[in-house]
Amino acid sequence: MAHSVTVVDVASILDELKHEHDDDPSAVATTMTFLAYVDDPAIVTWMRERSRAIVEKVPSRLVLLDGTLDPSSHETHTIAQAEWVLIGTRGCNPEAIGSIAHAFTRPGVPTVLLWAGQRIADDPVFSALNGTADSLILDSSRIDSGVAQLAELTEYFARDRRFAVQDLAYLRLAPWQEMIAQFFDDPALTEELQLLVSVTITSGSQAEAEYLLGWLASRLGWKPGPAHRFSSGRGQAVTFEIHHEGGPRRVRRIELRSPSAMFRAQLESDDATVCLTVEGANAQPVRCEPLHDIAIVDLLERAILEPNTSDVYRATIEMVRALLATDA
Amino acid sequence: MPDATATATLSRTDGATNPLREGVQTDRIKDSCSIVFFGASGDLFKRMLLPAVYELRRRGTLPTGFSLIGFARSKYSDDEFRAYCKRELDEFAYGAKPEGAMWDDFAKSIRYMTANFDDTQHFVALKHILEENDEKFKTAGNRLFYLATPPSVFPKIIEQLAAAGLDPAGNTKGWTRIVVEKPFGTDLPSARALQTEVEKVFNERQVYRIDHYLGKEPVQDIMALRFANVIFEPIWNRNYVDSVQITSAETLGVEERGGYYDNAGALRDMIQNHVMNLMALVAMEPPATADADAIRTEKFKVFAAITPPTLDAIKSMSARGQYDAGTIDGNPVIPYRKEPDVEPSSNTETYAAVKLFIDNWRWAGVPFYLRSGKRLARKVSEIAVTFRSIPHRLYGEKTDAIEPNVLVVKIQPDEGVSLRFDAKVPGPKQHIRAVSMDFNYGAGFGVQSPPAYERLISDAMRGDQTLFTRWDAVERAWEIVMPILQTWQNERDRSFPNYAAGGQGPQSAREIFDQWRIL
Repeated sequence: MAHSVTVVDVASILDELKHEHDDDPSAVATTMTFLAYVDDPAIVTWMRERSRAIVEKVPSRLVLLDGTLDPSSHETHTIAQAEWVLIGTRGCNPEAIGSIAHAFTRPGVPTVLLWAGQRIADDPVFSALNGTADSLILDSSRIDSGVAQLAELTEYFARDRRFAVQDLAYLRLAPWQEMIAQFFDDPALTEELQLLVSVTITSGSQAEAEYLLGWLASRLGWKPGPAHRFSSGRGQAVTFEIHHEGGPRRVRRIELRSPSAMFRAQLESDDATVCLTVEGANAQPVRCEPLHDIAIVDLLERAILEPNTSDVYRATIEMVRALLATDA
Repeated sequence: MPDATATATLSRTDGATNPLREGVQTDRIKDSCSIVFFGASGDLFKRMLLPAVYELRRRGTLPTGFSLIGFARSKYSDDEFRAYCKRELDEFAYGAKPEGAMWDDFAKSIRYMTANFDDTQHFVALKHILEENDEKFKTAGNRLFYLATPPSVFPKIIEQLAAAGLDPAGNTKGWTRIVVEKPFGTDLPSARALQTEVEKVFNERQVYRIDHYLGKEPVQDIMALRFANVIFEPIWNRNYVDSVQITSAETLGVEERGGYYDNAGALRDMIQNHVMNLMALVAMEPPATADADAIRTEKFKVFAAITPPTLDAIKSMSARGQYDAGTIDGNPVIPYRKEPDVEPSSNTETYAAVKLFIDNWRWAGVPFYLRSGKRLARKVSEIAVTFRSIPHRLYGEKTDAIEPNVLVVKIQPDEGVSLRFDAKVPGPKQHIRAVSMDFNYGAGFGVQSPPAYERLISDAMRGDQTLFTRWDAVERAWEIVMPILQTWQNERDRSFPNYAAGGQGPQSAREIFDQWRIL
């Protein structure tokens, strides 16, 4: 049901939620408060749909703070075992938004902030909300195919590590990481990792490519240098190239070369299968694997269920920061 | 090569020295291997096993080196068998259908042998195929043999594996494991005879006895419910628990399995394995670790503490039934004795109920009521733990029935947990009424559990025996049910058929327990 009030009336909205429960007694379990903020009219519908899909899967209270709507607008629903609340926050000062968020936070369960604002570090609303949340989820390649938001995230991450951060742009690389790792599971090929001389990544968005490169470099102990080069642990130069091709947020190909071998993982035309090729020393038959491209809702669910920042991600984002600084 | 322990079985593809492996989440099975399905032209393979393996492939769970070999009497070439697999997957795959690069890649790894189980040379030829596959698909010498044939052929296949050098002792490159489908024997002597054959070739760590019930996610949730929460364990004993009911009820009849079922019956088919395994999970002590052996040892201890009923006590501790004509979901159904391949005067029970006691410190005196039947009112599998009544009535009007608390673990359908407790009815009077607090796994986690066979096949490939039954437990379960089995075999039940299809089961079940939960 939709109602209009002149100001955000927290008590009456909570009362509405209670009545929704009376109508739907199945709403009994809550595992988190899911706080979502959006101020971009282009993605409001997207956020509504995705947040609804999340609460249909995870019993929770979702509070969607919509910076494109006036505070006089709000909606409450119960969905499956969850509560869904939308509140307009356009024109509200950041402190008021933080206060509203706090008022709707369920005590005793974690609060997860899904941030879809256009800025991070310098956004006062972000600063107001992060005091309420235990962990942060964002998608640094959502807004454009460049690295502006990723660069902001790396700076923010370097300054404030209180938050557990999950970036969907990084999480969606999991199948690629797994497939790249597969190349080197065979002990006969593991040594090749230390001999790599070039990395070429083809991706529709820069953020995913930077993350993939940062992950590889941090795992292999490479140090970033000028002119698209790393220096490996053995002091050897490793060149890299990033090509833009394909749809946003999609990696299409990664190719690694050593003096004696070439390893390539390439997305096929069906957009669902990646074929793995090893040529040269220890060449192997081409093997095709399902990409398991992860739907955004599943990515969000993973980010929610695994809120801790891993050491591997920490090292990756630090490498990405160094890479971006080198590029700059 | 000996298969020392599940956790110690790290192959050459374990990725231990691959720095890219750290932090990379994967469900992929580490050990490359070949899997050989004996009986690959049968129903179990096409309906359950093949779809499970294909889904493992589709999810990227199969190891990087993999091959599948069908071994059966039906005549197929490799290509014909691949075409057969594709046709059956078109019908039975529960994920995506087989097509595109994914299917082409999977199909390449499939081979078939038309074979006679009596001919050792066919097993020698199988050995050559496996060796070829080790080279071609990098399967590292690891072999999983899956017996999906009728049980009568199990001993012959095991004998032939050894004769052809396909036994673990003959495999110097990798591990060799065998999956044995249920039933493991049809009674205690036949189970022991089969085990004797198994032991000649495989040690216990190489044997995976499937009870597919154990692969169901809600069954695994029983342990998590007990041992991941602090609130249940303090009251999980004779001081607080009045009784435990375990039910596995079906609305289905024997379908196309009349010939098998008429020689088995509900006690053999369900109670001795599925239902008793549930009982073990409910009653076991907390294992020291989550290791397979620690868990299986605790489950065995439960069976070891059960005294098999004496012949004198069988009538008061067990009940049997056979369904007559009736109505299920509004449709008339025929009596058991008129089912295809069933003897018209059959004495086989389609319903069995048993009362057992676990004679240990925790459970002494607490009855465990187990029941399973076909053509009952509702399809339901559940465990209901009924707690003792309150010691002193403080609330409630005299007319109010103060019900004991009941914790129900629902296995199917609607997997979940519900707790019944008493609450005050709002108002000035002190009326008390039982209410239910429900948790549903589907709604709670929003994910579908993988089918049991998918989990079990992947566990066997990983070398994790947790969900497979150890021989000592199988043997003890047979020892417990044997007195009932023998009595029922020797004494015809002249009341058969004694319950109407679509009902609650035979009246005689009420004589051992009058508070069965309504189906």
